[in-house]
Amino acid sequence: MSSSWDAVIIGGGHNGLVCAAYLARAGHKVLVLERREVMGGAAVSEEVFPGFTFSVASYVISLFRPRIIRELELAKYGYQVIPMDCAFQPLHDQRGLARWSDADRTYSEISRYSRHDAENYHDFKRTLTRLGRIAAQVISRPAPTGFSLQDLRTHTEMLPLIRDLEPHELQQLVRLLTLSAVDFLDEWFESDILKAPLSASGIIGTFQGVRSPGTAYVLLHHYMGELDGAFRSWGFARGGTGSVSLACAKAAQAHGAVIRTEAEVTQVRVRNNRATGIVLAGGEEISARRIISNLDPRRTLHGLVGAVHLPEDTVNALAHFTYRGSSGKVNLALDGLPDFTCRPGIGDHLRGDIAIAPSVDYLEQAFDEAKYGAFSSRPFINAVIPSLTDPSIAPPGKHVISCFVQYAPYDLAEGHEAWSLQREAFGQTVLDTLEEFAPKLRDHIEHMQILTPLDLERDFGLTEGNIFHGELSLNQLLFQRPAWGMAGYRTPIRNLWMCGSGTHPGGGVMGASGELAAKALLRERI
Amino acid sequence: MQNPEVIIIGAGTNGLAAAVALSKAGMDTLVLEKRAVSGGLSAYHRFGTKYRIPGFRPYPDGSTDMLNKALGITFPQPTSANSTGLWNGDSFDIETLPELADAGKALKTLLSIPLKRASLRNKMAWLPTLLQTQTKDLARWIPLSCVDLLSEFDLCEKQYSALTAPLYTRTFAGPKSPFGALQMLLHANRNNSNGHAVLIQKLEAAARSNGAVIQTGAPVKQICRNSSGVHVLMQDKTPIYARFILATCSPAMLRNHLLNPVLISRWPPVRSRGTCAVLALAMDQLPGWLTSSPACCKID
Ligand SMILES: Cc1cc2nc3c(=O)[nH]c(=O)nc-3n(C[C@H](O)[C@H](O)[C@H](O)COP(=O)(O)OP(=O)(O)OC[C@H]3O[C@@H](n4cnc5c(N)ncnc54)[C@H](O)[C@@H]3O)c2cc1C
Ligand SMILES: Cc1cc2nc3c(=O)[nH]c(=O)nc-3n(C[C@H](O)[C@H](O)[C@H](O)COP(=O)(O)OP(=O)(O)OC[C@H]3O[C@@H](n4cnc5c(N)ncnc54)[C@H](O)[C@@H]3O)c2cc1C
Repeated sequence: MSSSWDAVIIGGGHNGLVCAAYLARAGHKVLVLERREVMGGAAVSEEVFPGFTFSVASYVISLFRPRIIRELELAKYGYQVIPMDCAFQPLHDQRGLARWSDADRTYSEISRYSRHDAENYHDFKRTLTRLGRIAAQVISRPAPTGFSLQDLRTHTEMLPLIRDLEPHELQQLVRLLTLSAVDFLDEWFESDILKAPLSASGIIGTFQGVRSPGTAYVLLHHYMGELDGAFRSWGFARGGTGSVSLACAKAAQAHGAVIRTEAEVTQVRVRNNRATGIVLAGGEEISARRIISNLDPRRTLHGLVGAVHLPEDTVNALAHFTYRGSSGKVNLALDGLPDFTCRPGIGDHLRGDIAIAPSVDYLEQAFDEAKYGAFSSRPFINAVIPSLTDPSIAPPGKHVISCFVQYAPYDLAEGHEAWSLQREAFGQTVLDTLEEFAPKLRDHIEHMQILTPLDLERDFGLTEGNIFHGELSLNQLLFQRPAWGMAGYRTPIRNLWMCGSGTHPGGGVMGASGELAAKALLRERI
Repeated sequence: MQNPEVIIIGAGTNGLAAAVALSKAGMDTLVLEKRAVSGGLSAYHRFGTKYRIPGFRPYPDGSTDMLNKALGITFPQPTSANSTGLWNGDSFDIETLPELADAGKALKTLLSIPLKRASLRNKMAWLPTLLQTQTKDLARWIPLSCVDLLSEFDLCEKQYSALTAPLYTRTFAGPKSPFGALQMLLHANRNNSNGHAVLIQKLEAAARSNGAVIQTGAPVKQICRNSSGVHVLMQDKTPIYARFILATCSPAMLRNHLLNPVLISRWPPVRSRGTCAVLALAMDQLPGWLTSSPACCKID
């Protein structure tokens, strides 16, 4: 038993690893404890079937903070993201819609459905990019938690950004924060075919429909990525999403951090309202001056600390922090490529993001079933074929398709345990839906991996299968993530901190929570 | 009559209240109402031969207070402050959730402070309210759905539906749609009060006694501006000029019919999606469940 750790980090998700790297770089003795045999958490690559490497959970990168890449020199440790060039939406009867990073090409695709929308698309992108810049600033800073000096600085830094906005942009910002994705898009576009895939980005990871108020702001996420010049700024990490986590791990190790896998923490030791160490599943105890948890707030405080050690306020706040996972994942190993009826052949349209979102009503109907505790019989699917861009992840000539599927509500009408019985049916539903657009896909399937929300909870430790460690609704963001008074990465237990997606600025492979938590800790001069 | 100083389009509650305030301030006021009766949505509808029904069940939402203060008109006191659901059990009063009622009051204070073109002092008026603890509740509650908001309190399922139904049904949203809580908060400290017929009559009488002219059966066709100033065009194309025009009809009416589209191209779109209908019954007696309900309020 070693008692000389400055910091023990519970969980080797990418946020925990970023946090470890920053602390180690500042000269601290850091130990990371990861429950699984691989690092990365939801940002992980695994060779699930021989020769096929899946980005098992998270599949595209956009929001990862450039500052972290620079400061931790992640490029040196293998961080490389290849931008996507296209977003393709197959349809039943027409050619479908592909939007390209080339504006002229996009214009002619959209104008096939609406000249008006093709004209507006450029303006739309410009407005959202401007607003996205503000959002990008918000996620690069700690959330204001009150009226401290640090908060004042955050406020004054943000002011000029807001002041620079034109009045109509400010108005758009307010509308973005309150409207539904569809209502917002209605103000710009007339074509359902364009609005459907755009609005779908408003529901990723939420238990809301495209017509639910408050879904519009998520559109911003697509305009605040920082992969220069790339379409919607999304891309594939070479070697799968896990290579981002591995780059962070290597950076941490290079600065002296120690990482242990298959080391599940079962308890945080608390004495006199202070965290003193942790207990591992085998009973081993490790003490440390600071404990930093990469787990979500419920797992950290309820699970590892225990309600008896917590003030009532915190227990209440935790009870009201909602998860409500709504998505699943199906990963396919193929011996060929899907052939879409509406756009046959192997073209560039397969290299980007493929959205099964033929109409706004299709998406809303998918949500209707989820409301009453069933997975969608015709779900929204966001599929990518990363092996086209990065052949290293599949045997020669073979491919990997990663399908993000919504809705798969954690709470089925029969209870969440029922997912074990419905897993197979869920997978077949996804294949049926894909085959409506790409017939005979099943002929190419060599292996299939199905992840229900229950699997995400059991295998990845994502509470209720929520991919973001808690819903990203307005009441759970900024100074309220995870709760008023805890947004500064601190917990009511002294020396116990949090650095996962359940803290500001939230989920997605951004690294921001890990970075900001580490910097907050370092300001304390641990 | 000479050209009035201000033309008010519409003699609904808002048009009449404005007429009272402006005429009281000494402005020469003309109210033009399309329909044969004043009252707008608050007007009585004739129904059968012997019945009239009010356009709505009136609970003027604390606004009677405001009218009292601003216009010096008194209204009947609320007869019941209860919001009842029709289930077998105790009725439920939203006022028994004091945190909710307090947050609702704080929200109203915040909303009543004009921000645009406000003086610095006016803007600073936000501060004390913002610093109150309710701000914390508001920030957490406003984005919630009605059901999520109520789940923070210790209530039974029946109370949920009774409390939420009257609120979300007016919007194009359900009890579990985000931001439903906003509606609940806005209604949290409302008073049910009777006397809406009185409301219209009193407003109308007050306006007239201050010298305002109220013309019914006078639809405005267009709002225009030329070198001689702003004016409205009536059915027969006669113009009436005024220094100000105050329209109380819906934004959709303004946008689609009354105003030149060029003038309003930068207006944000306003959605109007109707979600309710009214069923009125004429009965020879009240059904038992209504008369036995302790909190059932009598409508004048
Ligand atoms: C299916 C899916 C698809 C997604 N797609 C995308 C996407 O395309 N793009 C994007 O940006 N984001 C995506 N996300 C979201 C993103 O992956 C997550 O928000 C992010 O990876 C979370 O990182 P984290 O470090 O905060 O937490 P996690 O990655 O959850 O890390 C927590 C770590 O703690 C470990 N752990 C849990 N319990 C214990 C314990 N008791 N002891 C020790 N260790 C423990 C876990 O094993 C895990 O490694 C997706 C998520 C999912 C699930
Ligand atoms: C079924 C129903 C139930 C309701 N229930 C309640 C309730 O219980 N409590 C509550 O507080 N509120 C309720 N409301 C809402 C409330 O009735 C209205 O918000 C309120 O009466 C609106 O008043 P207003 O003066 O702004 O507009 P209106 O009352 O709509 O007045 C506008 C006036 O302008 C006139 N007009 C329009 N165009 C022209 C034109 N071109 N030229 C001249 N005149 C024109 C119209 O004829 C109308 O008289 C209800 C509404 C409805 C429909």
